[in-house]
Amino acid sequence: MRCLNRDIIQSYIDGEVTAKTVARIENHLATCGHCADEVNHHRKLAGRVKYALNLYAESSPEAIKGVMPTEQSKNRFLTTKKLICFAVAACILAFILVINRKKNTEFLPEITTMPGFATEIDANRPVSKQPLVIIIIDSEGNVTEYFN
Amino acid sequence: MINAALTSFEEIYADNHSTMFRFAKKMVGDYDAVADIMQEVFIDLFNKMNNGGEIHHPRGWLYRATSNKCIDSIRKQKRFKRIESIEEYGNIQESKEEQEFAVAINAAVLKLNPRERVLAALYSEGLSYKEMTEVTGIRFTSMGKTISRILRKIECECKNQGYEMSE
Repeated sequence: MRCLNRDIIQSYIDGEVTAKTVARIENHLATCGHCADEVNHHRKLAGRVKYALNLYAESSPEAIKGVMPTEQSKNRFLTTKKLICFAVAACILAFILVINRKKNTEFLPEITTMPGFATEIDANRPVSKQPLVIIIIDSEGNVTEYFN
Repeated sequence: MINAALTSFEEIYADNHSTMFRFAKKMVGDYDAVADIMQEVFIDLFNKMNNGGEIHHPRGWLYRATSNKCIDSIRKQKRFKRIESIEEYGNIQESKEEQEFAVAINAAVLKLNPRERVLAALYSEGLSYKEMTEVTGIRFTSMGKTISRILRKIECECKNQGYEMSE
């Protein structure tokens, strides 16, 4: 087995490697003085840092005993502001609905008009003298032609 | 329902306040700033529980919330606050050398970037790699490497100040 890298050493001293890996590491440590020194150094380093951080952080205060409210405010979910917002939103929605409904009820028959010339254009006559036709197609498909 | 939520909140508060305070103090250092952070964290927790939010792992939630607030607080700090004296830590039964060394380590931690501080604090709290992964979002497989790098940084900083770890 090759010498241990720092990541493996760290995981090993933190007890975060599998039993199989532990066995392999310990086998290696038994034969490699350099790695054994490294592990000792890392263990000492980790221990010192943990100790130092905990030493001064211990002087934290006791949890302050607070007074908890015994019941919930009745208006918590329905404040005046929320009510006004709901009312305004409802009015706008109702207005939009009414407008749309009115539009839908009006009967608007679909009529197509197609103006054009009744015969071929006579180039020797002015436009006002040309025979004109207006074709009107109503919504039921009836075709009506109006000549001038 | 409200009473159940309050009871539950009170229990969580009583069980975790000291731990979270200690955890935050390791990262931020300043007592008053930590007290403010704690207040904000527990108010957030209270509001969440009071609004019917479910918290399955309160301790994990608190670690996450506290570390996030601490990171914000560290970033807001205009300048780095050094630990100038050991007297401010009160009455600690340790030799003068040990105290000075511990101050040097704490100062070195406060020189780390915010995310590294969080990890150092979590590590010193004795959390497992899995728990630290849940709080920080760092990959489980990178945890050994990251912690090792942070510890080496602390070691180097202490060495610069004349403190040798292996002594």
